[in-house]
Amino acid sequence: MPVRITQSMLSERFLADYQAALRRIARAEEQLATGRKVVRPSDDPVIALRALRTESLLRDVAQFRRNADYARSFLDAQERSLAEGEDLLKRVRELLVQGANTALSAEARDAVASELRAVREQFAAVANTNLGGRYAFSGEATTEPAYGPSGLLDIPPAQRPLVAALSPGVSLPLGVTAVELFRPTPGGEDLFRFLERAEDVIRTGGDVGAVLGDFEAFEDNWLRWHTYVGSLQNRLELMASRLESQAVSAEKLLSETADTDLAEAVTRLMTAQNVYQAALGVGARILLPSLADFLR
Amino acid sequence: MTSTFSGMEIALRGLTAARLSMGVVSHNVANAEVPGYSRQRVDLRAAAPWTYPGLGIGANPAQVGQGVEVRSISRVRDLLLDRQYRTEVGYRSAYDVRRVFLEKLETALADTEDSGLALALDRFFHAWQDLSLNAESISVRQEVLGYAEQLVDLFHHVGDTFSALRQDAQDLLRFRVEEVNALVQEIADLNREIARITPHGYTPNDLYDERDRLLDRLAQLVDIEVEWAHDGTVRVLFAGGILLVEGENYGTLTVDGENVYATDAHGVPFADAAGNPLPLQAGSSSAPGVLARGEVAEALHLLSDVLPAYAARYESLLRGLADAVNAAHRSGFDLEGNPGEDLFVFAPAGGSGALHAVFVNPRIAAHPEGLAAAREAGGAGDGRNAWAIAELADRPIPFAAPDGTVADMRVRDAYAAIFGELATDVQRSQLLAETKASIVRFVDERRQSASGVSLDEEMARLLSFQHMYTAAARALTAMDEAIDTIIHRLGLVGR
Repeated sequence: MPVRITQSMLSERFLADYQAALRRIARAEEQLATGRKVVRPSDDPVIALRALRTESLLRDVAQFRRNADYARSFLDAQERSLAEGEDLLKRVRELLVQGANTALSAEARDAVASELRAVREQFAAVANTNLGGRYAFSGEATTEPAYGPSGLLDIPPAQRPLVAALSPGVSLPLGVTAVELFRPTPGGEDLFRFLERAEDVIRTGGDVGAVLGDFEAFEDNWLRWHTYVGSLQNRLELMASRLESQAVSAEKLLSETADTDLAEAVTRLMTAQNVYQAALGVGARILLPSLADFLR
Repeated sequence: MTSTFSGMEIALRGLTAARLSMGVVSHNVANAEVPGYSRQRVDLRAAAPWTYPGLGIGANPAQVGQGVEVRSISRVRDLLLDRQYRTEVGYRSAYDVRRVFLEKLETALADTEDSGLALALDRFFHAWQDLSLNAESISVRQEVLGYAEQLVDLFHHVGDTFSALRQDAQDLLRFRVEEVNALVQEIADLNREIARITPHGYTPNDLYDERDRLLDRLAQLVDIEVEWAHDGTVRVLFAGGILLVEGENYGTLTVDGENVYATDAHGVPFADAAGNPLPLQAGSSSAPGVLARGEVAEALHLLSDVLPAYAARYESLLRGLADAVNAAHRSGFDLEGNPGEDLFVFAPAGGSGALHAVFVNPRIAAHPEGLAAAREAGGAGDGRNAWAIAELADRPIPFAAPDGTVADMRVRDAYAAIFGELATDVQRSQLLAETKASIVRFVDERRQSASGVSLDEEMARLLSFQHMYTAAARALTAMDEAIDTIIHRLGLVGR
């Protein structure tokens, strides 16, 4: 038996088709309005999952940047202090050379010694460089000044430099501690004690030549750590630039994965609209007449 | 020899048949848009001839027909298609219910750019990265605690979502079971009425239609099998052979929490050998007590399998995460040099429902110094343990599956697995529901094709019956004129 078609079948089929056409319009509209290819994960689980991971990656990269920014500001603060210390060390050498002059009067020696004392106090300020309430050279003991009334801070946490973890598996020591910087030989004399000694020797007219000989170790040590901090800064910049390119490629990946292809979506919307209008037009034609219209 | 008036009788029968047929046509037209209505047809046949050959019968050249006779008024309906429809519609309704529930779950738990579990996990671990660089800062510690609270809130939200869906499924189960009971009673009532009518030789077409409509609806709720009995009543069986309706007797379903119990049409409860009532199950086997399709079956399936399975996966995620973070946290030292306590606590400890039971340790929440950021006691700026915790985000940690197996994976992968599975399940349920819906549409269209009223067709039939009526009236007139000739014109010779 051929399929009988009745009026209510026609109207039901029309309703189903026109609903389908409307759904297609709604979907294209949704994609255009949200700018995302996948509005609900079930629209395309594969793309949704990829977008989920890429968004996570982007957040990681943003956090990595924050960490790197912090490490940069910390290392910059240390570097500024190290540069200042280098100037001070130059001044110490000049003063020691001046003090070594045996023809100097007692008053002149006193003046040199006083200046040495001022430089020593300046070094204390360098050692206690503060960054947002943290002592930059105190190692992990960031709440305590590296140099206080009782001398150089020498507890175990202060001997461990901070380590900035930048991203999983990537970490960077945050520079140098005061203990390393001011004491070239472990357990030996630190710069502050040395400066006190030099002051005494000059004031009392002792053998400045021997003091001058000891001074070289401090200069070398300082320079070495200064270079080291500089190299850390370079490493950080390298990491940061790699990070930037990673961020850009992650953004690009996310956009390619999850963003609506505008041209495609608009085309699909237009097609869906055409189909919808055609469905309405055809519906209006087929649903109206019946044989009753033509009888008599 | 035929009677003088037999021709009038034949014409009269034609008139009656035509009028009756027109009545049926207009009944069809009037019911054209009534759901479940099957078009009716008048079966006409030539009436039995008046004479039979025999000794006392004069030899006529032929039998003279006795006009038309209405044999029956029957509905045009294909019972095989009904059966197909009721099977498919049961599956469609079940998949539809599953789709709706999974979509709700998806909507409630979806990750967007600025909400969701993936974001909360990332923020939590990133806050620990911040803390590793600023271990002595109380404000950073507060931030870590804030994100830990956010994470806990999200797990509570997941738990709430499952509770709400469970409640929805229970409500659905109760409403649908009530509906089944009401439908079954109506069907039994119709059976009774039909059984009273059919012995008198009538065909109660419209009652059949009404009963079929009720059976169609019942098929959306439970997996029924319909058997026709000789007196026009139906027997309805469900759930692997439990008798739901027989004649005017009907069974009942009762809901107790998440269980459904059945009592059959003879009043016998579905029970084990010892007589203890057994709850109905959802499944695909045809064993007694197993519902294969329909909304009731799917509500049971959601309550017993789908929702608990998903909740268990989220619980496993939470447990694995909390255990790993707690272990790492305990191995560090807080700002005051004390060893760390558990960061996440469960109240009450252990048991199920972990999603609701998890909290940030209240002692730490009230006292941010208690966060164990340091690897060694004493260094305020020591953030190495904070970093170790932050690194848990990218390190495989053990997750215990509900079946007890333990798999090591990264937190993000564990969550992505759940996320991906939910997305795929939603997609699959949509696809299944859509497929079954199109099959149902197809079968229903076939059914409509057989039973639906075509107005054009009815108009054409109306015209032909109208002509039949006119022609029969014309035949009557002819007979009348013939008899008139005999009565009024004969014997007037010479008057």
